[in-house]
This record gives sequence, C-alpha cells and structure tokens, in this order.
Amino acid sequence: TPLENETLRIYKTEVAALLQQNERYQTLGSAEFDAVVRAFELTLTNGREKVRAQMLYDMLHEHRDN
Amino acid sequence: MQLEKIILRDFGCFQGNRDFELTEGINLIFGPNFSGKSTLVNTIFFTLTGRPIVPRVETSAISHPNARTGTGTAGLQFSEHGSQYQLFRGTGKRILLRSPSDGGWQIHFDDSRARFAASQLQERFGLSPEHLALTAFLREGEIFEFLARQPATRRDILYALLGIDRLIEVRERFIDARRLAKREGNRIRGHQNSLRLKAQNRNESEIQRIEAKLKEWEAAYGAETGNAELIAEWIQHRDRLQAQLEELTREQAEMLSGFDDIKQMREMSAKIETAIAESTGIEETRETLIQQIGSLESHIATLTTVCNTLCVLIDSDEGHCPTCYQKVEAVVVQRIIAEKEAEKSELGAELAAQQQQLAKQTAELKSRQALEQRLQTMQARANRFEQLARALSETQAEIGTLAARLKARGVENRVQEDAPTRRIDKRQLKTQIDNERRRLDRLKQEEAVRVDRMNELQRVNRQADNAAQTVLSLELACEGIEKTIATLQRQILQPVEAELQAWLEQMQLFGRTRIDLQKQHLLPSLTIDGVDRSLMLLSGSEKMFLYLCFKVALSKVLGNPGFFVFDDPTLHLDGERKALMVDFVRQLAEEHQVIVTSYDEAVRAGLEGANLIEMHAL
Repeated sequence: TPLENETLRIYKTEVAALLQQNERYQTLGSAEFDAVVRAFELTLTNGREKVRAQMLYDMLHEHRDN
Repeated sequence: MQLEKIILRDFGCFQGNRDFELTEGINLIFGPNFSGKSTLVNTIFFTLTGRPIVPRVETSAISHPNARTGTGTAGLQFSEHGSQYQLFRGTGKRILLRSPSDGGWQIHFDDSRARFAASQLQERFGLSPEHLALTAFLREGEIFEFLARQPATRRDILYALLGIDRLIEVRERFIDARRLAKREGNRIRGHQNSLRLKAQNRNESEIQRIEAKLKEWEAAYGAETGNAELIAEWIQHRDRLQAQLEELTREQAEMLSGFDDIKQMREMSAKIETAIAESTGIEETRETLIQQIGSLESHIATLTTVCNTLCVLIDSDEGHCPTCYQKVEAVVVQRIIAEKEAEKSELGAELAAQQQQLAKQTAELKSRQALEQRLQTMQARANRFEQLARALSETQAEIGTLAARLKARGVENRVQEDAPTRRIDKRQLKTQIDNERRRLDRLKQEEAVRVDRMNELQRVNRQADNAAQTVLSLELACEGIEKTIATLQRQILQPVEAELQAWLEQMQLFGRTRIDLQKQHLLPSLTIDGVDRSLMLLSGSEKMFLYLCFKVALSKVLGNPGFFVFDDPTLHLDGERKALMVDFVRQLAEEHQVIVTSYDEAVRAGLEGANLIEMHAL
C-alpha cells in the first residue's frame, strides 16, 4: 500500500539520520543499515505473527558473521 | 461509497423485515425517543464492521428478543464506483456480500469467519472499524467518552487510525529480538568473564621470577660447583698428565740405558750393524768345519778299527786274513798298523785344530747373535724413545693448556679438593634446581593453557563485540521506528490540524485558535488568542462543534468512505447553535452523503428538502 511505502521511506530516512547524527550508533555502518531496513521491511510486510524474534536476531547477527 | 438502503431482519428493536431507503445528500432520520433512530445508526455500523457501535456490547444482544431463529440480521445496500452491493451480517456471525448480476445475485463471499470478512471488506472498500468509528460516525454520547478516555486508549485509537499499530507490532518484534540479543550477550559475557578470570591468573611474572632464580642458581652452580667440577677435572687431568710425563721421562731415561743420549745410542747401533755385517759367513764356515770335523772323526774311527783288527790278527796266530783268507805276515801287519797309527795321529791333530777353529767360530757366532739382539733392543728403544718424545711433547702442550686455563681461573696452583664435601653441596643445589625446573615446567604448561584461554577469550571477545553490535543495531531499529511513528503522526496530523483550524475559523466559534492534536494523542489541545484552553472548560455546544470539525478534518486527510452518520448532533444545543449545526450539515452535504438523526422540529425545519425517514415510537 502507499502507506506502507511511505512508512518504509520515512523509516529509511529516520534510521539514516540516526546513524549520521547519533554518536551512539557511530560504530554501525551501511551493512547494519541495510540489515535493519531489511528486517523492518520483512516484519512490516509479513506481520508479527510470521516473523519470529529469532529470525530478526539472526538477520542482524549473521550478517556480522559473514 | 453511497448508502442506498438499510435492511433489517429481526434486528435491534425491529421485529420482522424492515427496509429504509437512503438518498445522496442529507438523510434525516426523524422521530421521538424509542422510535429506533439509534438502531438504524447501529445497523449501518454493525453491517460494515461486525461490531455494535456502542462499545462493550455483545453482538448477540443486538438481535430482536423475539427473533425466530434467535439471531437477527442487519443489511446495507450501497454502491461503490458504479457497482451495487448488498452486505448482510447476522448476529450469529454469518456474513454475505453479493451484487446483482443478470437478474440474479453474484455472491462475493458467504462466510462466518469474521477476520476473513473484515480483510475482504478492507481490501474491497477500505473499511476498518476504527477508521469508520472516528471519521464517519458520531454516536450518542461519544464526545464525552472520547474526552474521558485514557491517553493510552486515545493513543491506541490514533495508532490504529494511522496504521501505526503495525509499526508498534514491528517494534515489539524488534524488542523481542533485542531481548534475545541481550540474553545472548549476557551468556557470552558470562563466558568472557569466566575466561578472563582464568586467563588473568598469569604465570608470566612467576615464570620470569623462577627463570631469573634458576639462572642465578645455575650460575652459582656453575661458579661454585659446575666450574669447580670442571676445574677439578682439569686439575685431575693435569695431575694425570704430569704423572704420565714423569713415567715417560723415566722410561725414556731407561731407553737410553748406558748412553748419554739418543745420538750416542744411534752411533753404537751403527757400529753394531757394521760389526754384524762384517761377521757374515760365520754360519757357513762353522758348518764346513762341523762337516770336516765329522769326516775326520769318522776317518779316525775307521783307522782305529783297522788298527784294532790288525792287532787282533797279529794276536790270533792264524796267519791269514779272516775276511779274504789270504796269508799275511806279522811284520807287514805291524808296519801297516804303524802307518795307520801315524795317519790317525795326523788326522787327530787336524781334528783338534778343526775343533779349536769350530769353538772360535761358535764363540764369534754367539757374540754376533748377542750383538743382533742388542741392536734389535736398541732399535726398539730408540723407536720407543722417539714415541715417548712425541708423547712427552703432546703431554707437555696439554699440561700447558690446562695450566693456562687454570691460571685464567686463578687456580693454577690449586690441588684437588676433598670430593665428598663438595658433592653434598652440589647435590643439594642440584635438587633445588631440579625442583624449581619441575615447577617451571608446570607453570609453563599452565601458561600454555592460559594462552589457549586467551585465544579463546579473543574469539569470545569478537563474539561479544558482535552481540553488542547486534543489540545496538536492534536499538537503532527500535529508535528508528519511534522516530518513524513521530514523523508519521506529524505528517498526517499536521494537515488535520490545519483542516480543523480552517473549519473552526469558518464556524467563527472561537477567536484566533491554534490546534495541536499530537500533544495528547488526538485530543485537541486548544490555544485561543494565545491562551491555552482546557477542553473541559468549553461549553457543551463548543465541544460538539469542535469534535465534529475534528472528525471531518480527520476524514478529509485520512480518507472518508463517502458518508457521515451523526446520531443526534444537536443534543444540548440552543436555538442559535442548532442553526449553526444545520448550516454545518448542509455545508458537509455538498461533498458527502450525510445521515442525521434528530427528534428536534427545528432541525427538521432547518433540513427541509432532505430525505426524511420518519420514525414512530415502537
């Protein structure tokens, strides 16, 4: 839906702004940004019931191992 | 969406089948109390959403008590984008959507699964209960409920309205994932601390201390025991070499026995060799002499035998030879005997001379053999002397080297010490060194284990860093959602605020107003002429107008299904405000279908020309 697309656009903008402006996140890079956005998109599209917490953890953790 | 007909089958306060036609523009449902006005409003809401419009009311409670099947059915006929639909919803959960087709009906779905029906209606017509309740319907007493609602409840309504509830769900999932990540991080940190504690038991300093001590002890062992042992060995060797040297010197002197030096011995040897060379042929001469003596002795023995035989012949008187039996004369025999005796005497003298010569030769031979033996001995001694001279030279050189070493150690004149005393010190020191060496080995093993643990710790540290980064990523994800929620609210509610402000200014209810819908989660915060105004201090009519304008503004920004349903909006309004409300409804009806309920004749008069649905007390 347009609302979902708009939500995703806003989310990307907000996360990018946080990465740039918040010193707390200065150790995170573009790989983490991509992983976070991918996890968000997956959960928003499929709903909480289908996306387990372990799946999100793995998405954000495994990309680091790789 | 244009509502065309309300259909009731044993629903609410209506028994049997009742249909109410609706038109575009304004529809006024007019009648006294208990005539079923609110039931019609409820019918529309229930049909579209499956929920009674009044919260916390069981669905089964809205069927008519005398319904034959125990369940009632509410229905709506409406058109959307030129297509006509009929939607029926039974209080017993059954839902039917159909549209006319070739003189019959096309069933789009006929199901009793509420969720399925809700998703179908959402998909086809964009209908959601929260959206409809807040933007299209005004039920009786709703404004007071809304004002009295807890901020959290209003926030939930707002979130559902803006689709933020899904974002909240996503955030909850991220929070769950963060909890997992933190748990994993704690597990890794526990392992890390355990390893760190074990890895902190450093043996390095202890190993260094023991190694330094061992070095010191071994140096001491070298100086006091080890080198002393070597020195003792050197001294012993030196003493042994000196004894050997003395023996060699003594033997060398023996080798020279009778001579002043080896040169004299060699001269004598040369002379003996000459003498021996000169005395060659003694053996042959002596052999010849022995043969000659043998021959002479044999000849003399023969002559003696002949003489004896002749003497016997003379003495026998037989006058003839016993062998040849010839006659012999005694004189002749006497003469022969005399000749033979003379010959025998000559041979005897010759034999004596020969024997004397043989004795001389034998003495010479013995003398030569003695010389040969002496020469051999002298040559052996000369050779040995030379060997000894070389050995002496080597021994002296070695003694010289040892003397130099001992001199370097400052113990050139030291004699061999008392061995047993030194051995005790050495053993004690050696035992100590061995013990420390064993301890050092054990510590080094522990250190190797510690190094392994350090490597493991480094690996776990990397894991911990990863876990921390994962937690941070999830916190970023959560914070991103919070920011997104705020931005979404701002993006959606700011236009609503502007729209609401425009409506209020148009109504000229207040002075210069500024509206904030975000501060209190949809509850309008009013600033009138620069002064904050509490909603609670507004009059009933002001609250009603503010709330209706708020609904209209919301519906304009968020989208409206195409109609408004207001249940008795003029309640508590005086004549002037009723007229204002009528104007408001007429203005709204220019763009939307508006369904209004009222029992007020002034409203009926004000809305003259509207589609009138007149109700009577049941």
